[in-house]
Amino acid sequence: MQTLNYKCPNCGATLPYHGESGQMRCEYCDSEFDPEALRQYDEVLKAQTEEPDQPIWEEYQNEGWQDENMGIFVCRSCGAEVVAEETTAATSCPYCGSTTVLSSRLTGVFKPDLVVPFAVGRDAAKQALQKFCKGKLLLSKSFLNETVIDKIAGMYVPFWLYDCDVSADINYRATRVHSYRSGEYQVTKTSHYLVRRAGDFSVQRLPVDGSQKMADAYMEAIEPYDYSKAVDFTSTYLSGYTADKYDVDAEASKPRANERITTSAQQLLRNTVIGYATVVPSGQRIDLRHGSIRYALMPVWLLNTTYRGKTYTFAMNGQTGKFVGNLPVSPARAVTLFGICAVAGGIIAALIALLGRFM
Amino acid sequence: MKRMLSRVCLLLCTLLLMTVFTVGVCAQGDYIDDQADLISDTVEQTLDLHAQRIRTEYGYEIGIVTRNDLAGLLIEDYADNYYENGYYAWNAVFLFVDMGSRETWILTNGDADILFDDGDGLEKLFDSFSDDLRNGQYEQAFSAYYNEIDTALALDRDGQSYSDGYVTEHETDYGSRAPTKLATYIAIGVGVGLVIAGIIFAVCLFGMKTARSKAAAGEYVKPGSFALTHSSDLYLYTTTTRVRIQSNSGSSGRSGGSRGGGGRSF
Ligand SMILES: [Zn+2]
Ligand SMILES: [Zn+2]
Repeated sequence: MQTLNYKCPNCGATLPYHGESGQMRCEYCDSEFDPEALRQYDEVLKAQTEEPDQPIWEEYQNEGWQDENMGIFVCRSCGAEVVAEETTAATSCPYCGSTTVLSSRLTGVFKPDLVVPFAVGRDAAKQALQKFCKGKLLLSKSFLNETVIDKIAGMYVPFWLYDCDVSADINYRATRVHSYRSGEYQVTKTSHYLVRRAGDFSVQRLPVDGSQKMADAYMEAIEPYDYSKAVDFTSTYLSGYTADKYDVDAEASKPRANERITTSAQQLLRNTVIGYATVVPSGQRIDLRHGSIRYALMPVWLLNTTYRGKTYTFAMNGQTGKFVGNLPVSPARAVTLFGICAVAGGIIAALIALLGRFM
Repeated sequence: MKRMLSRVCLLLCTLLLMTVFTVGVCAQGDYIDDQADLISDTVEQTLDLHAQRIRTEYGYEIGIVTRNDLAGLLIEDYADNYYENGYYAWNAVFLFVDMGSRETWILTNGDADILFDDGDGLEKLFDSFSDDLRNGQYEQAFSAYYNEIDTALALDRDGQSYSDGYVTEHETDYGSRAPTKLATYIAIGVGVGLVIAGIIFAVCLFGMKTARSKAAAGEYVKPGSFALTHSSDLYLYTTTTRVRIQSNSGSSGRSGGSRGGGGRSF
C-alpha cells in the first residue's frame, strides 16, 4: 500500500489517500480521479523534473588562414573588417562604400572549412531589385525612379554551421470538449489529459551568421543555401569578391543555434499531438548532444540604396537569387488601399447577405 | 446460492420482457394523445396510420399531444417531461397544443433536431399548419403537420435540405422589421469590409518587409531522422458546466445537440 500523497491535477491541492477502492475526490475543487491515472500522472511529472543537460557543443578548432596574396582591409569610416586579395585595387567597404581602407597582413583568422561559390552575378542583383519593387501596392511609384543604387557588393559572409543530435521530451495539458443541450441547459463537458511526447532527431548544418555588421534578420531571411554545391575552401573563390572577417565566434553564436533547434523540437513534437481542443505545453526537457561546428563562407549580394536621403539595404542569396529587404510604406497609398478594400469588401458582403435573403 | 442466482435471472428476464412488451405496445401506434378532444376518433385513426407509415419508412416517431391545462408547467417543460416519460424512439417530433394558454410547442429529438432546428426549418413547419390551427380547423392543421414532416423526411433522404433559404412569414409580415434588417446589412458590410481590408493590408505589408528572422530550424532537420521515442495520452478528469439557455418569446430555434424545439402562440 502506497502512503504517497498525490497532487490534484486540477487545482494543485494535496489529495489525501483514503486507501479504499474507487474514485478519489479533491476536497477543494470537487474533481474526481481514478487512482491509477493519478499514479501515472505523478510518474510522468517526475520523469521531467530533472533539468536538461547543458547543450554539448565541441569547441571549434581549425588551422589559421595563411595566404600571402590575401590581406585584411579595415574601413576607417565604419570599422568593418574584410578579407580580400592584396592586389585588389582600391578596395571599397562593402557596408558603407567608403574607399578609405587600411590593409594589413592576414593573421589570427580561422581558415574556412567550406565555401558555397557565387552562382548569380551582379546584374541579376540589379534585376532582382526591380522585380522586388514590382506589384507592391504600398510602395510609392517614385521609389524605383528616384532610388540611387550606391553600391552592389558581392561578399562572402562567414557562417558557423551547427550539427547535433536532439532528444526532446515535452508534456502538454490538453482538453477535449463535448457540448450538448439537455432540456433547458447547455452542458459542456471538458475532459483533461496529460499528454507526453518524446522524440529524437538530427540537425544538419544549421547556419548562424558570424558577422556583427551583417544583420542576422537579413541573413536568416535569404536562407537556405544548397549545401550539395558546397566545396572545400580555397582562396581562389575569393577572386573578385571580399569576405567578411567573422567577429562573432563559434562560441558566441551557439545561443542562437540552441534557440532555433529548441523551437524546431517543440514544433516537431507538437505536430504529433492531435485530436484535442486545446493543447498547452506544461514542461519540457530538450537535450542537444554530439554538437559539431564548421566554418563556412556563403555568397551574398549586398545592395545599398538611397531614396530621398534615407538608406535602404537589400540582400540577395548569391547562390539561389533569393532577394530580401525592407521597403518604405507610403502613408498616402496605405490610406487609399485600406479605404478601397474596406468599401469594396463591405459592399460585396452586404450584397451577398442581401441576395441570400431573396434566394 | 444457486437458487438465488436463478431467481435473480428469472426476475431480470421478466423485467426485460415487460420492457419489450411496453415498447412494443407503443410501437403499435397511439401517437395521437388528444385529451383536449380536438379531433374525432376516425380522424385520429387516420393520422395514426400516417404516423406508423413514417415510422416504418424513416424510423421517426411523429406525435401530437393536445391538452386543456398543463398543471402550471411551461409548455416546453411539459413537452420534455412527456417525451422523457414515454418510450419513444430516439428520432422524434412531437407537436404539443395547449388550448388553455393557446400555445404550441414542437419538440425535436435525435436527428430531427438537426432536420428542423437548423435554419428556419421549425418556422417552416409551424407555418404549414398555424393558420388552420388558429381558425379551429384542427383536422386540416394536423394533416398538414404530418404531410409537411413527410416532405421534410423525403427531402432529407434525397440529400436535400428542408429548411434552406426559407423566409418565414413572420419576417416578411412585419414591415417594422425592415429598418432593423437594413441596419444589420450595413453592420455586416462595415464589419466584413474592415476585416477584408485588414487582411489585404496585412498581406501587402508582409511583402514590404521581407528581412525577417527565422524562428525554427526546420529546413536543417535531417530528413527522416525524427522518431518518436515515447507517446502517451493520460486521461485525468472531466469538468462539467451547465448554462441555462435563454428561451425567446414567440418562436425560437436551436441547433446542435440531440434535443431541440420551438414554440408559437395561436
Ligand atoms: Zn482539486
Ligand atoms: Zn565601411
